[in-house]
Amino acid sequence: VLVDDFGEWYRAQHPRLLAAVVLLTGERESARDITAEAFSMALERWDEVATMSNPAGWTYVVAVNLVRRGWRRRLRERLVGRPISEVPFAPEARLDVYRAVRSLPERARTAVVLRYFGGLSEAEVAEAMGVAVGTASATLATARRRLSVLLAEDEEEMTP
Amino acid sequence: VTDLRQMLLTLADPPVAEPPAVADLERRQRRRRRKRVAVRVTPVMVCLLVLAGGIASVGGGDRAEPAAAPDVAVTVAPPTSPSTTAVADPSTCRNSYNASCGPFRWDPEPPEVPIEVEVAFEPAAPRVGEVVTFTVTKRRAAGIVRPATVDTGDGGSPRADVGLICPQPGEDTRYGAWDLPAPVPFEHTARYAWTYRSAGTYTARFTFEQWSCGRYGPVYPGWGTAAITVTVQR
Repeated sequence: VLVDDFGEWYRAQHPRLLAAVVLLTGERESARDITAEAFSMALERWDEVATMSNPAGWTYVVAVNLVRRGWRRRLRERLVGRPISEVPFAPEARLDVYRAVRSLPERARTAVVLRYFGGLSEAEVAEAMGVAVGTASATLATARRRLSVLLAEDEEEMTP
Repeated sequence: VTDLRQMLLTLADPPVAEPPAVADLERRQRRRRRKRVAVRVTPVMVCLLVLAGGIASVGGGDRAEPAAAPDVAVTVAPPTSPSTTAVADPSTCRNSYNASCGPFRWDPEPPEVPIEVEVAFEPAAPRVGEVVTFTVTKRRAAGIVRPATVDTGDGGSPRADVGLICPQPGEDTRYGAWDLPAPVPFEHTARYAWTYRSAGTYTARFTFEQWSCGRYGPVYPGWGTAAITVTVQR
């Protein structure tokens, strides 16, 4: 596989993975760092990753693991409690969608990112998260219900 | 499902930030390699590991797996060959310490136990710059509840999401299927302070989630959320 292939794939995938990681962390700077690290790992193993049925999915799982590790590190460093003062998306983005997903619990948010951004099947989401397939399916179903309620509430609030 | 995916993907357009150059990714790669070389195992350690029966061979540091690589590849794994390990009689494997009963698991799988959340705040008519104190009570029929994810409704948060917290794995000699432990009821009240910087009506939301930590921690997963509207005056 040519490195040029990686470059093209990387540039196409970067915006989505970065957006997904921002959804997980709620912060732009750490999300940029985690996203770059995940793509760097994909580059390192590109011969292998490029032949997978879903190279992007592999990279999302790497990023999710990095996020979890980052969260634990942040906890250890006692940075919990630091205010998150900005919405990390452009003003024209669907901030209602961002807020709705951010209000989901971490487990559901992770499952949503892996399923809908990463394109993993429910079985792959379950494996990546270390839970039973039934648990992953139920988590995703609950997340979909909660998102539809939250987004519907937003629309009602916006309707005069 | 398609709508949800489309809605989520709108968050990537316009991009949050430009991608770094591929050369930057290669620099990260070199940095990781240097770290791996620094922690490369010594020949004595290799001998000890082989004697312990843990591995057949150990390659150089550069061949180590990345620490954060996924536990499983996204490709379909080839079928495994039949195991030659002795398997215990399943009828004697309930709540067992016999390693031949296979990996530990809860049986049945822990059900979700919802978390009931109540929120109140004071003062009742806060002004800009005044501290608003939210009193949040959570009740649950099982287990420990982790800290909240808080959305104050104005883009800020008095507390960051802290992610999954499970105790570190310790020595555990349980194998096969185990009965679930009896749930322990839980109730806790916490206060969160926040100052709104501009007048308006905000929806503050407090969300709690407890993951199942498998064998090492809280067993029963659960979720609960509550929202309250705060009108801040000039």
